[in-house]
Amino acid sequence: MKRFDCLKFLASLVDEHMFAVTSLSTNAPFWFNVRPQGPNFFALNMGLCLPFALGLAVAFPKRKILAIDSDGSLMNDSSSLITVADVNPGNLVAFVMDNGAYAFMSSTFTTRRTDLAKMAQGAGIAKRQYGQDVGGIFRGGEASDGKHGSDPHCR
Amino acid sequence: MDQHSVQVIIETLKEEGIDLAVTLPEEPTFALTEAMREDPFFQAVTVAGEGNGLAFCAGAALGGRRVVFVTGIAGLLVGTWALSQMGMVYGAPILILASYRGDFGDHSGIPGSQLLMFKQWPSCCLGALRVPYRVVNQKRP
Repeated sequence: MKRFDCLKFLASLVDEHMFAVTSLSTNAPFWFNVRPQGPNFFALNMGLCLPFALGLAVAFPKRKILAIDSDGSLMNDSSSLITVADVNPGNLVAFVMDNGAYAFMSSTFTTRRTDLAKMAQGAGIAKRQYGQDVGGIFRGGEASDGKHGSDPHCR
Repeated sequence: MDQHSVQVIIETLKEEGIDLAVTLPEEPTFALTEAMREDPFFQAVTVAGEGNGLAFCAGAALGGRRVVFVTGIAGLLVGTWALSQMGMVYGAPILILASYRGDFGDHSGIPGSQLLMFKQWPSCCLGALRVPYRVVNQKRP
C-alpha cells in the first residue's frame, strides 16, 4: 500500500476531536493534505513523535491520540517504546510507517535485521499489529486492554 | 537530597498545581522522586530516556498539564536534543529540576574531569537554547 493512500484511509476513520501527531517525514505533508483541519501537531523531529503523543494522551485521557511515526524516527529513540509500555495509555494509537528508507537516501535497519513490531513486543506493548489492514489496526487500537501499537508496512 | 529540601520542593510544587512528575531516576534526586511517587497528589511517570521524557512532558504541558521533569545534570545533557525542540520550537512550559554537579564540596565520587564538564556546560548550553534557568545553591533559612 502507498503511504498516501494509507493516510487518506486513516484520515477517513478519525473524528474531529482526535489529536494527531506526525513525525518530520513524508507523514507531515501527506497528513496535512488528507486532514488539514482539526487538532494536528505536524512534523515532530527525530525520535520525538511517539513520546510527545504519549504526553498528549496523558493530558487528554478521554480523547484518542494518534501518533503517526516513521521507522527512522522511532529508531532514533526506541526507548520511547518502553516508556509507552510502562505508562500504558488506553487512548493512544501509534502507527509506524515502515518504508525501510531514510527519505530518498539509504535504507533503514528494518530492511535488514531490525523488526520494530518485535521491539514493541519486547518493550512490553502487548497489542501490536503488522500489515496493510489499516482499518483493522485502527479498530484494534480501540481494544480495552490499554496496550497499543501498530506497524503498517507502507511505502 | 535531605528531607527538608524534599519537603520544601513538594510543598512548592503543590502550591503551583504541578501534579505530573516525570523522571528517570538518578541518585541525588532519588529521595524527591520517591516522595512524589508515594504522594497521591502526584501522577508519577518514569521514562526510559531523557529525550522521550522531555517530549512526553511537552505533549502533556501543551495539553494543559502542569509538569515537572526531575533529572540529573548528565541526563539533561542527554536530553538537549529534545529540549531544543520542545523549548525553542514549541515553547512548551516545562519545569525541570536537575541536580547540580561539580561545585566545591561535591563528594559524589565522579571523576574530576566529568565534574568539570558537568559544572561548565549548563550555562552556555541552556543559554544557547534560550532556556531560562536558575542555579539554586542555598537552602531556605
